[in-house]
Amino acid sequence: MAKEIEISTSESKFILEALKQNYRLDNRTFDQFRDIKIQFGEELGDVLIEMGKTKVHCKISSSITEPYEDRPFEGLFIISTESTPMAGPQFENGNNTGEDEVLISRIIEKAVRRSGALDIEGLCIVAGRKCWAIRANVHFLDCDGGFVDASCIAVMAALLHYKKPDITVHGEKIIVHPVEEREPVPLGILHVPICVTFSFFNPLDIEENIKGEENSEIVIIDANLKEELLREGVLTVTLNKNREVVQVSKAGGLAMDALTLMECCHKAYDITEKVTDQILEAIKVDNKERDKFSAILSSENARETS
Amino acid sequence: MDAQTGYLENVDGSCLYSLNSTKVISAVTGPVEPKARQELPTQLALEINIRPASGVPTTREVNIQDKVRAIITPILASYKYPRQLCQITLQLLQSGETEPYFHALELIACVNSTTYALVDSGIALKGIALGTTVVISKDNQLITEPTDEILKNSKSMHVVAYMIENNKPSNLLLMDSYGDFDENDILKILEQSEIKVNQLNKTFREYMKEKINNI
Repeated sequence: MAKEIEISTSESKFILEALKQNYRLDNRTFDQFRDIKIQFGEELGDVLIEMGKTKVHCKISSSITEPYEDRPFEGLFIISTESTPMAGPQFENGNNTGEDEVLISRIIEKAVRRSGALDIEGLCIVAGRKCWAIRANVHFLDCDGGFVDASCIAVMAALLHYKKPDITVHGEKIIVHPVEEREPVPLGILHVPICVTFSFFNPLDIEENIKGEENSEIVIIDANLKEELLREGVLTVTLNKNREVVQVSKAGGLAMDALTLMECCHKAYDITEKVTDQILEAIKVDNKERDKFSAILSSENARETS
Repeated sequence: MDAQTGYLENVDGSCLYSLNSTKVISAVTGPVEPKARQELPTQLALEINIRPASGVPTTREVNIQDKVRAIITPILASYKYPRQLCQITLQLLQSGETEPYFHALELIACVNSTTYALVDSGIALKGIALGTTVVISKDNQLITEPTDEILKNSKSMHVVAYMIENNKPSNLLLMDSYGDFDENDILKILEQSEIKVNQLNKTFREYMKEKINNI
């Protein structure tokens, strides 16, 4: 049965007092994102993201199906996020209607699917008849805060890593070539959205929560589980490397200033840039390892790239 | 085979287990307070959930779940924890077999992984459960721990799980066979799997010994 995590009064007071004095329990600064560890599995589109103690696994699978009637030129893209008690006792089996769980899946859905990160028109095979259905299965393994950020990175890294089998179309007939026969093709990724979550704490009394005149709230990036339990407001900014704001999500909580929001977006951009580069680099290294002969077999001319 | 216990932070016991290309994480929470409908007045209730690597759980996962339950229930010292619950969650990371047709490799990975996780969690056990898959190939050879390719080309396949008490197999917990075989084959398989389970038990004990020495 789902059990709320309890945090003792003395511990919560200690954490808050430390924050007021510019300290975090894990020795990070307020603007510091945790280091990300990206591990690829044996199969394509199998990624394990570790952010501190938070672990999220994402696996991409694909199948051929019929497109929606009102969208004959588009393929299907589904992100499934279901939590199990594996991540912690606060999650329940088969019951993902909790406020946090719904919010996590909505934010990821908005950041990745609705922002058009995956080219779904490229998944169309025969208009109105056949298309690819891409499914991203997100598995929450271990929770130490930052599920939104970690799963967004996991989904994007897995999509970039995945390759679907090559096909040939003869009118209505489709031939799916096995991986051994023809080199599989990567998915069309249009941009890489990265979520950065800010948590707000109020150092003053409760009155400030309502009035919000002082703007003296403490802003920290990438809170861990304990900080998440104690925070009084949360803001998720999703950006990509092209300096485009994909979404800004703030569902209630502590009132904040417009300037603070701008400042947060600027901080988020630096992180986005760093994380995107890290993902792309990891993909590149993995691709090289998988395909040792590509460099020899390539017919590309050597050219200067700046 | 590779096992790593204590992989997860928020549960009482966990194990990342991989065998050939099958990979599974098991998490054990317990004993905890059960929901009213799960509660058993005199013993420990057991909840097992298996989640596939991709897609939603289907009848195939429920089938594996029921078999794992049949294997795990006898090894728990369940009367030690009346009105309590033990929650086991298994997450497959990589199936390692042709999914709709087989479930032998996943089942064995789930059982062995759960044993490691249960010991890691510190729940009282009567013994441990370890199992292996044995196939009879087309040229009548016995192969333990097959890969997907061998599984596809086999005449029959058998999943065997033993209970291990006092360091030796004491009880056959499950034998699940598919394909074409006779009585003689069964006896050979039981013999072969007992040898394999003894090896697995040795690896298990060595792993746990090292783990305890390192604390």
